[in-house]
Amino acid sequence: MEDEAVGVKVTQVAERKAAVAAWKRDLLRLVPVLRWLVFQRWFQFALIVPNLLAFTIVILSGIFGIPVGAKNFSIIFVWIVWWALLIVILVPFGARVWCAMCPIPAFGEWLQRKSFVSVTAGGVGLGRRWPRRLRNLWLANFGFLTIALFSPIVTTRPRVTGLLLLGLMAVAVVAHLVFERRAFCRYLCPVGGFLGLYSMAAPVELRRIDAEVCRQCRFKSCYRGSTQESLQVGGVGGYGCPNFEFPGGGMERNTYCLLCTECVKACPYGNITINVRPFGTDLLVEKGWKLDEAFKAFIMLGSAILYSVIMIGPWGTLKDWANLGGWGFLGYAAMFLGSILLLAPGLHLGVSALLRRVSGARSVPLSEVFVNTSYALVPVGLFGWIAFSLAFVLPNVSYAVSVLSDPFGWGWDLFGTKGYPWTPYAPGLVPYLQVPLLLVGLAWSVSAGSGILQKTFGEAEARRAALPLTAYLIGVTLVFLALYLG
Amino acid sequence: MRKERLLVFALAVFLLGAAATGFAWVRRPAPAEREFEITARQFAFDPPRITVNLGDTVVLRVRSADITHGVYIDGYGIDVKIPPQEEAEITFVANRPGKIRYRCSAICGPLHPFMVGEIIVRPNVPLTGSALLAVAVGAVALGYAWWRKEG
Repeated sequence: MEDEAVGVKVTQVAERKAAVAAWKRDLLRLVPVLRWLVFQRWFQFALIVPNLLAFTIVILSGIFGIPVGAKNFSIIFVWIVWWALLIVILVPFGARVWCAMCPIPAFGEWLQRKSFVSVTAGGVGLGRRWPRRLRNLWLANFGFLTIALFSPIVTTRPRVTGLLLLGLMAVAVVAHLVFERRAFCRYLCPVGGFLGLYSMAAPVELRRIDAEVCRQCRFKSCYRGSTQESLQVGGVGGYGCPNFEFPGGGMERNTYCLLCTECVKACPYGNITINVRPFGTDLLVEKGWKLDEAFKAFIMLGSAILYSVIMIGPWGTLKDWANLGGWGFLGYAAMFLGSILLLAPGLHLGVSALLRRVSGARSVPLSEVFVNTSYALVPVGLFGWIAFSLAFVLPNVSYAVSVLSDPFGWGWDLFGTKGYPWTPYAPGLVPYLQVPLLLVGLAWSVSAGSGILQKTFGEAEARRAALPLTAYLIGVTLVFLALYLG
Repeated sequence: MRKERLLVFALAVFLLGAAATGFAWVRRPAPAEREFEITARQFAFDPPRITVNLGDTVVLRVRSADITHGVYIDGYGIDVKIPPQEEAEITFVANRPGKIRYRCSAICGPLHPFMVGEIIVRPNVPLTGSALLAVAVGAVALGYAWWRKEG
């Protein structure tokens, strides 16, 4: 098939020698079944429906079930099972693949499109453009920080969990009805922000194959959606990127890609695919380094450290305060917010000033050093989160077996597992799993940091600054080690 | 030259740390019996952290100050339930250095999964060892990054 108007020789992805870098592999060519699935219109719907069912049980059990967290489906399945899957497997290996199957924006999106599966021309809603000033992660950061502040409540009270998810769904519906595309996922979702940050580390990416094909493409279906004209050339029909990305225009990072694969379906030339690649490739992509993302890195790293102190540490007074314990809560809130919003960025600013001074690259603005080097915290933060999560997931995940049979705590025994006893899995081994994880995160951060410094300062200056940056990253790792082993 | 200096520095830190750890290990006190009174209440043990020496026989007298709690000691397979206002005595030999976590094993309220106490068994070789490893890993990762760029 040939599209003479653009002079592009069009072939199918499967037949084409992928024009991707040698260290990437076209996953859709390697796994034909995945390719077939991705090109089915019902693919995302099929991913969402089981999760929607699970979330419905979560909301119902949260609101109407037993108020004891350890015996309620909502707490165990959201904060232990889902969380463990998300942070230990889905994000590190699958980038934002959770977003492709997330049920929270589903109702809003179905309403907006007036369709569950097929591509429709018009839908419901005002279709307003998201305000320019808010086109960043600050609202998502604020949302995450608010939930994080109350997490000792949110993660232990079924009703709060149920209402939180219901509330997020309601906000998503409103956002879809007022604004175009998935404004909720891009700018509001408190989970999406950190998924985007850590998905840069993942070994998968959705990217265009051949930049020249996209340059000559007159449809831009990956952003605008399929049209009758584009469908005559190719593609199975898809919406323009729901998350305001432009894959054909040179999307270079995973940060805002939901892996919904609409662009893969929409592209008339089969020029968009999913690659496997080395871990952490996006961390060195300068395009997009911004202050809101930098703060997301501080929020995530700071939260992992603070939760390790408050939740899995032995200090009862802190737990009492965090558990809405009178005036003490104010002290806890001041400590939590102060550490994340002042102490962590302040420390990083000091380190950035030191790096700039040591490097001798005084012409590089301090703000640039501050933002750029924050991305070196991504691996150490991600692995810090995995290490923290293991410390409460392994001892408590066995509750899931009994809760599965009695999700509401009403005495049911659906699968005969209600009486399954609490069984901490490998509790004595947790520290020995945490240490290697933290060391891998450290090595990765040092490696990424070295590359980031080079892009920030230039080669010779970066060499001078690498040692203090490494010392800083070792310091962060030592904090985690002291909390888990000391 | 810079790379060599980094490696020498990292090696020096590592060796000094290893020597200090080895010294602490060799000079560790003879095992003894150590008794502790611990109060369990929602959602903490008091005192939150106790310190013993490797090989000590540890006797914990745990009293529940409010509702039924439990004590499950990670890695030791000990699980004891303590009814309200009652006391349980738990005896074990601290035969592994480092941090031992113990946790409430009877669902006692919202923060039950986070009701933990800590026993530090000295010399804390896992901590010092992993800290030394962190320095070594950081240095090696940096050296590798430099070497890769030169390559």
